[in-house]
Amino acid sequence: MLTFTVRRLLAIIPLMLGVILITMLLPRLIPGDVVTIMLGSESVVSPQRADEMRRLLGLDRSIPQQYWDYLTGLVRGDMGRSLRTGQPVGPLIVDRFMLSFYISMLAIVLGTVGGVTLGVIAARYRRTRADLFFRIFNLIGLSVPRFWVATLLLLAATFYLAGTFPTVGAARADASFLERMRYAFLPGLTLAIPVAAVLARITQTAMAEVLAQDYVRVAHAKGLARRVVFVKHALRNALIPVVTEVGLQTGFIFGGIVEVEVVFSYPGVGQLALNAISQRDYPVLQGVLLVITVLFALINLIVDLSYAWLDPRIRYE
Amino acid sequence: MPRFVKTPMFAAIALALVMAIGSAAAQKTLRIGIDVDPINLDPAQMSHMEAHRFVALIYPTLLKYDAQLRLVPHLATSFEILDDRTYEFTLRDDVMFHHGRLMVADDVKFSIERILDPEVPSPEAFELEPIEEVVVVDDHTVRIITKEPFAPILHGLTFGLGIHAPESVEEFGDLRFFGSGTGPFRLVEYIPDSIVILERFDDYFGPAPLLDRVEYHIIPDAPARTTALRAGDIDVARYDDAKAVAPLRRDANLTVDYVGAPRILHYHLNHRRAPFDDARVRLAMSCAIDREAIAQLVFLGDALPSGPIPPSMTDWALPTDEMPCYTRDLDRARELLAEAGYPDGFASTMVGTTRFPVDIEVGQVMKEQLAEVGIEMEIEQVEWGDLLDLWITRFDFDTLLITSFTGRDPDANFGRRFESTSTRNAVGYDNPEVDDLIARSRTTIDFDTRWEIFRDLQLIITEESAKIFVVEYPYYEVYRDEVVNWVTHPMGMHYHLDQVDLQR
Repeated sequence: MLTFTVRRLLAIIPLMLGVILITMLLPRLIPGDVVTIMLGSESVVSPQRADEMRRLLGLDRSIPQQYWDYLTGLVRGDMGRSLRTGQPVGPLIVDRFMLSFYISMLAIVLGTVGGVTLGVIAARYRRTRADLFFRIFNLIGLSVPRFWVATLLLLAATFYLAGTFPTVGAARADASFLERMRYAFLPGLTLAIPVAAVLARITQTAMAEVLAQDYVRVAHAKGLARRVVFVKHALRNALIPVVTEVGLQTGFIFGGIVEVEVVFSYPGVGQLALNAISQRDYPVLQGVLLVITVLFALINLIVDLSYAWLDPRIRYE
Repeated sequence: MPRFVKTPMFAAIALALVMAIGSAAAQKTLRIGIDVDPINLDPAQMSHMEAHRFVALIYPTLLKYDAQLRLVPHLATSFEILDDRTYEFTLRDDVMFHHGRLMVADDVKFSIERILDPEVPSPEAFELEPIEEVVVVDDHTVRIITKEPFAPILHGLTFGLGIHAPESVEEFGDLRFFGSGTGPFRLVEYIPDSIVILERFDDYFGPAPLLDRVEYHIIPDAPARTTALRAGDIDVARYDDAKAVAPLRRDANLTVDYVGAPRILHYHLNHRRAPFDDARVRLAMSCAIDREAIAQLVFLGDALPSGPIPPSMTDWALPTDEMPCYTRDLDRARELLAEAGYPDGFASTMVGTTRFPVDIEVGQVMKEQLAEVGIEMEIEQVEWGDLLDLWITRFDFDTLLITSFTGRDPDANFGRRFESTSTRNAVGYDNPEVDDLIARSRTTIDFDTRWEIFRDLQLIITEESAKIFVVEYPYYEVYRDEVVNWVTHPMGMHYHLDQVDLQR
């Protein structure tokens, strides 16, 4: 188990090197750079002066040199500075990531609890009339675009829950945990809905499969209460595909964060990345993508490790 | 509803109410929703309108623009033109910096020299580059001497020069996030992509501000801004889209205010490429466009047709009915096209940016209008940085749509855009007569003579259709009823915030 974990952690390093290279090259292929955008549409600046500004920002160095400097910086724990605001990238990303973390955490918790509960209920009432409602929820949850759900929730919060959940911005750095959750709730809920829909469906299928197995019949025959059979015997075995999916959905949540953060004017990492792209702020963009990649790799590792906990037959050597 | 749902729900609602009441303290806080992040609040690092607006509020300038876009005194009580290169400003003697020191002429000199310092480097430097020397005569008198007679310098000094304290620069290195100015509100905190917080400055030289605190919430999404405004999460919101504002006009709690902004839609035709090298083709296109219809369809009647100088620049703009083809004339357009050898029209592309969706809407209407004389345009939407690259760096476009703020001196409308030697002459216009007029407009200090030069320039540029000027954009600020004394300034400046009050 330990060797497996260490091996997987080490495998992240070449992944990072590749990601850094790609995130270094791709943004530089987009036409225009930070100086062009900084000068905007109204400044009158000679090309020499613009080049001088590029030099001050270190953009005149060759790409291999910039790559090397970035790597050596990383080793020292320095992710560079934002070309646009001069802020150090590391602390900037940490601040913004914490804000997005509240949203994703809420989305995962709400989505998983909601989805699994619904899935279990749906498995229980399979092929009854109640199943229809489940199917409808599923269909809507999967097909409705997130920005639309976000806008609806925003309107609902404004007109029916005035003041309960803020519609703009994020909690300040010194706010209490409750206050942070209050700001993160609506964006989190928006992202939780499709997650719940996916997980509910997977849970239902997995549950149906497990429920048809002999040992479940034995459990019923022993005279155990239905709830005990469902939750204790069937659900745990049905969870493996669900956990895999939770891991994958975490990735989709990162993708969705950009949308909901824009709608809720929530200054998290999604907005940071979006603005970094439009401002051609390479170090910030590289930093965000790198952190997301590492997180994603770690989440997948955790998912793999949790299989062993869920199913004692699985062993990592 | 079962009790186990009810109790926590009521508890949550009660808690939320307590929190809401707790936060609405006795302080008078005005919350303004804006669409764009200022990015950098350093007076030497402004690169777009939003930054200018904040700097104008926190770091007042020697002069400022009134609602008719005329220059009026601000930190300077008056100025005198000693000779055609020397401007002598008399400063107020009661201007206090936010950190508690009186402002003196040395601070003006410092601010100018910092912006001109090549090591800073400032995107605004070009506004002040004609300055040769700043002479401090005494604490309250400063002389600004230009290298050559340069009339637009007054506007450069107004738009590009927020007076800031040397102590701040020493303390913070740069003023991106914090600094000391002399405005009615001092900067407390700027959190990028989130909020700018200002607090009342008690020693402000003007009338004592009525508000305790002003919060600018950065809300890029227009529907989100609208929701926040209606919910009362913000008190004022700004917009540039007539259609986003239309439903707000029916809301009894809101006032929709708008003015014509000195921001016009420039339709660039690249003279380096056929058929736009032919003035007849360009004029035909101008004739084929129905500016009134665009104003009605896209701006619901709130926009005005504009020449090279927007109508809101009341001092300088010529009425559009004196310019050729400002009334749609399809026959003339067809005639001109036939003369130029394109009786059946031609096909080309029109580039616009997704950053300004309203521009694209105008483009769609123009596409239909041009199709009536056989000109088939294909619209290409690109991202902002991409557009800047095509438009400013590489001149790689057939036709291109872009709105820009052209306020300030009319030199910004001509010199930069049409002088053959300017790096910003995106269309590649080359006319020695115009070059000569532009040169004279800069060295002529007398207003009336300058006015005549700009009248001639407006006529020549529209006659040659060097570029097609479409409409002047409206600028909207929508506020809740509790807001008193609100003034909507054509450039979106908030000079008047010291007078604004809240009556809750």
